[in-house]
Amino acid sequence: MAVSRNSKPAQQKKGMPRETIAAGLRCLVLVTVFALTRLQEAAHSHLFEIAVAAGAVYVMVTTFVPLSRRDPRRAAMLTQAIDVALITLLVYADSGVTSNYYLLYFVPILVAGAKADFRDAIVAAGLSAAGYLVVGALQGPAAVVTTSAMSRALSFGIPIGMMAIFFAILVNEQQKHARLAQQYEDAMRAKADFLSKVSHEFRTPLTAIVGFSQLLYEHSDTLDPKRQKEYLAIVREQSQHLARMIEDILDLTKIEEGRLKLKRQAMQVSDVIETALMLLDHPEDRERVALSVEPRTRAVYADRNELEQVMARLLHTAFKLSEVGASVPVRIGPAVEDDAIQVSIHLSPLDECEEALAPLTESAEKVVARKSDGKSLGLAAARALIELHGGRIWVEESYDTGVALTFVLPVCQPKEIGPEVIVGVTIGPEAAGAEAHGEDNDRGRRPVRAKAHAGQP
Amino acid sequence: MIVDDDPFARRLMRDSLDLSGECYQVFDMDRGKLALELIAVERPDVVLLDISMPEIGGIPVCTEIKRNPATAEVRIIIVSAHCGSDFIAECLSAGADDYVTKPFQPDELARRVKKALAEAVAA
Repeated sequence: MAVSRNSKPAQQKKGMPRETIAAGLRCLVLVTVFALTRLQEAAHSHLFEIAVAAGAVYVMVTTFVPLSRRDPRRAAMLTQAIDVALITLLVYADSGVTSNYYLLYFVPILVAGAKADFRDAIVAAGLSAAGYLVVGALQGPAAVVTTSAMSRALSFGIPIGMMAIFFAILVNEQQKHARLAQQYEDAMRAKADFLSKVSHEFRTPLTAIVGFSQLLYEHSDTLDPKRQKEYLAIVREQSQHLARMIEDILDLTKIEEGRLKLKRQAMQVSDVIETALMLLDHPEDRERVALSVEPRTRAVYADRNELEQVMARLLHTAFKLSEVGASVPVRIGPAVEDDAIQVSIHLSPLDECEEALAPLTESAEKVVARKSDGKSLGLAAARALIELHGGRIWVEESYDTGVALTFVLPVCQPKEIGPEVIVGVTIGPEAAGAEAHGEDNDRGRRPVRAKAHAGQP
Repeated sequence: MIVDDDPFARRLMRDSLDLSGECYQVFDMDRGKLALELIAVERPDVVLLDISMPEIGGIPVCTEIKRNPATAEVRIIIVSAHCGSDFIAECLSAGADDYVTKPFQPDELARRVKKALAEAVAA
């Protein structure tokens, strides 16, 4: 009730007086001008009466048409046309094309210009020129041809031209501004939506972390050690899951904003996989990976740290989607296209495999919008990182296990690392990537995951 | 009855009730459609219901439970990560009796369940 009481007077205050006052002022100005004309030119008294009648009509129209608010644009144009018609009448009543009242024509033009409504200003200038020419035509050809009348008529061309230029610039700027504002608004809305959904995703692991740690805290005296250990394992696993989600989101955001700069160097993908295996949550999963590398597999030119994260994410997905304990063959070899290598991670699919792998083809927003448990973000980040390296990733049928996560990466070109690039190198810890091990592993990223593994047996 | 697609959330809710000192018989289910069938058979006193689930979400499940005369008396507590006031209003208008936001305190959940059970008995 309180809201409706307050809102109604506010609306009235906003709508009514402005146009009524404008109409009243316009009426007052015109009546004053007509009165002055009457005093100066007594001979034109019949025109004065006509002018007063027209003024009355004018007041009615300018008061009621804009107030109807059905079509404000049309009402404004009509008001302007009436303005010009009355000024024309005044000029004609005074002394025709030689009357100094012709200066009044510039009032509606300037008013529209001051409001930055250049379309109205051009229309006002055009109408004014037409009205002035009508006055000249009514007085006869001789009056129009006078130098004074001609120069005055031409003077309308100047505001018309200027206004046209300003209008073109303004419209262009307004459109640009509107476009940018719309893009900004869309981006902000998408970001807010993304954050809201991401925070929702965070709540899933947080529920387990908060809940089980609370149970441990409250019932530490009564819970048997086995159950306590079980709760701790859940808290640990969900904490790692949460840390991974945060990393994924940070990486995705950086990539989308173009802030992720790759520090590329030549390396063998097999070396990257060896390191990625050390990043896995469960050490026993390392034994499930069967790595095979075709001869003459060339080195890639990539950011070692990011590529390790890609491999860790893909392997993590492969383990989650495969049958428990099933082997996960990883094959590396030359790609069908030139100057690329292909990596395939083969998995024995479970039922939800297709839906779970959808993030490899969806946008990050769509991934978050869809109900997921946060693992989808990892795949979306992996895809974005591979694409950032100039590669691509897809899901294909695998002849032995069923499904393969396959990606290609461009190989290292000699110009990228100099003449010593290793081509056709044998794969192993001593291969081309070995020189990068020490310096990159100390880079300091992913502290959460590194710590989590440090404590594992 | 616990209905949630997240196994950790199901386990947490079950253990929260188990450790609360009260004696409850608890069933759980990870899919809304199967949960509806089980609810019709088992007629639980209280359902702890998640909202975001695959196939059929918590809101339609809630509506269906309240629409079916055989299960309309079942008390429904929504346990969800969604926390907007509009969303809570939507849940309540779908027939939910209470709402708990994830992450939740286990003893708070147990208190809400106890209260819902008391209301169910009183009704």
